[in-house]
Amino acid sequence: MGEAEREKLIAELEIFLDYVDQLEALQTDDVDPTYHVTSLETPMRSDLPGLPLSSECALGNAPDRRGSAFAVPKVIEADDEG
Amino acid sequence: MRDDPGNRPPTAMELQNMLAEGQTTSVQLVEDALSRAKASEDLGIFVSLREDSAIKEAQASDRVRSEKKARSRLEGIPVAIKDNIAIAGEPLSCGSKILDGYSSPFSSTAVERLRAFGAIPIGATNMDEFAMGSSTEHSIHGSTLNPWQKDRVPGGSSGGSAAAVAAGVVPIALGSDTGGSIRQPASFCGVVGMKPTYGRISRWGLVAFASSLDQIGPIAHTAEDCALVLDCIGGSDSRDSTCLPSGSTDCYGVLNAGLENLVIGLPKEYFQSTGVDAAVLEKVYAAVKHLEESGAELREISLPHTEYAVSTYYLVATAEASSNLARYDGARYGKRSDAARSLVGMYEGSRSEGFGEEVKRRILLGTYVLSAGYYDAYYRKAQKVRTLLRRDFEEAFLECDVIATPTCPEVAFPLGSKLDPLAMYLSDVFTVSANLVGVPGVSLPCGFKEGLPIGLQLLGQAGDDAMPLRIAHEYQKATNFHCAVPPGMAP
Repeated sequence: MGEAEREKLIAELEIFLDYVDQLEALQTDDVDPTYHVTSLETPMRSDLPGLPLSSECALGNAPDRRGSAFAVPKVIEADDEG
Repeated sequence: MRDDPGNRPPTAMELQNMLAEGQTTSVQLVEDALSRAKASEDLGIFVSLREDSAIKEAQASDRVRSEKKARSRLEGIPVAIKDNIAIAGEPLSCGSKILDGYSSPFSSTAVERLRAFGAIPIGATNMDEFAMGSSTEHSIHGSTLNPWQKDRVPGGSSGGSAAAVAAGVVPIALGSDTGGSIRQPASFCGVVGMKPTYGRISRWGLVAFASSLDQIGPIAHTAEDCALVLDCIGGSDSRDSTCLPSGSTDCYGVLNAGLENLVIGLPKEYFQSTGVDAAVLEKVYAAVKHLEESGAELREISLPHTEYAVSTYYLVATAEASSNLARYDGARYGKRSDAARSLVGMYEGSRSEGFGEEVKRRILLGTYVLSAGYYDAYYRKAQKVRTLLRRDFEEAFLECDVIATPTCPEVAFPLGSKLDPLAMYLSDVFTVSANLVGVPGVSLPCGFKEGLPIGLQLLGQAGDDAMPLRIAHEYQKATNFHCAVPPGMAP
């Protein structure tokens, strides 16, 4: 992100955070939060193996692949390399 | 008034009758829809069309019909699908550069069910990037224009779907609604849009924005067509554990139950709110008076925490979005930065280059409000106020069967006129509460201001999706606002 984009975003986020400060006016000490509107139990299913998506299908959109794996830039930069 | 449908394009129900009587074929309907989609290219409605596959599916549908095995009232009907609802083997971009070139390996439950009932998706409609927006101006594919006045926005984020119906391309489209993204564009485009009860329609295959708020829903010319779609695609789904554990609805079956003994609540905070266009208030008030004359009782109610809804919504929605959008890392699908030399560089480069301005703004905001030190002050506080909003609705529904409000404080605004993000967020003031508390909401046309449609919003109790549709249907039986056609769109 460039400096100009960063400055613009900071200013916009500050305006938003000032606005949401209105919630401070509400007394909510004894109020439970609502993280989800449905009060469903965690559903259980039979523990049977399945194949929801074949690996070939899952790899179909890979930006880079090696055989049956997603290829990414090197994760560990070894000191003793080379 | 209903006797004069004007030049309005036929509804799915009307097309179904024509198909049943042999006056047309599904191939003809799909070919016509594809031609209209191309003829209205200047509106920027579609981001991709399924030309060959849709024609093949229409041929198959005509064969099914000739064997007298029509699967539902949607058999052979062309439909449009918002570009965040997956269709197997088709591009799925969510209006984002980061999904440029992505093709979905599976179909959403909603599309699977539509197709199982015989409907034919003809293409994907434009939207604000990842459904974050109220104007369909924030898309990698460019803006969608409002068919009523091309210098106006169609609303958003399901602007392409609402415009597809308004412009007469298809009788039915699917959208998604996280804070009003079906109802607001329906209002701006003069069509009917419904956000069902949270959990009514499976979210499997709907690209996640804010998972506790997102719902798929129908857009059409009539409440009747919306009921048909909801009855087909609603119901439990083992692939979405938040889906309600009930079977499919029968909204269509109760559409004609009438208005006798129904109480319609009018929240004073909405009708007395400053900043609502006087013409919008006048037409919405005229619409509820009409419902009163048709047998319903009007009662003033209060939703006292309404003024806190937008703050609450944007804290919850951005927090959930920042978590959901973490998956776009350039590793497994989507755009990977060409400049990526290290793993972290790949994440940073792919996300910086792939996401648009509004999406970045919301991810940063969501990450901030979830961060240690701010979690309690912002995110947890918002979830507590969400409880207060829920209580408001629970208490209101002790006094009424349905709540009527304007869908939006204004008619469609000019393209490029809301550059201030907070001003754009505040335009969602009447729609976000339904998502926060999980209740169903329908927007339907109830008048015009200077040639631009005005929407009436009807909110029902959680689980009672039929009620707002039933009232909307009664209103549409007696009025013809939904029969008006945008200038230049007459056949």
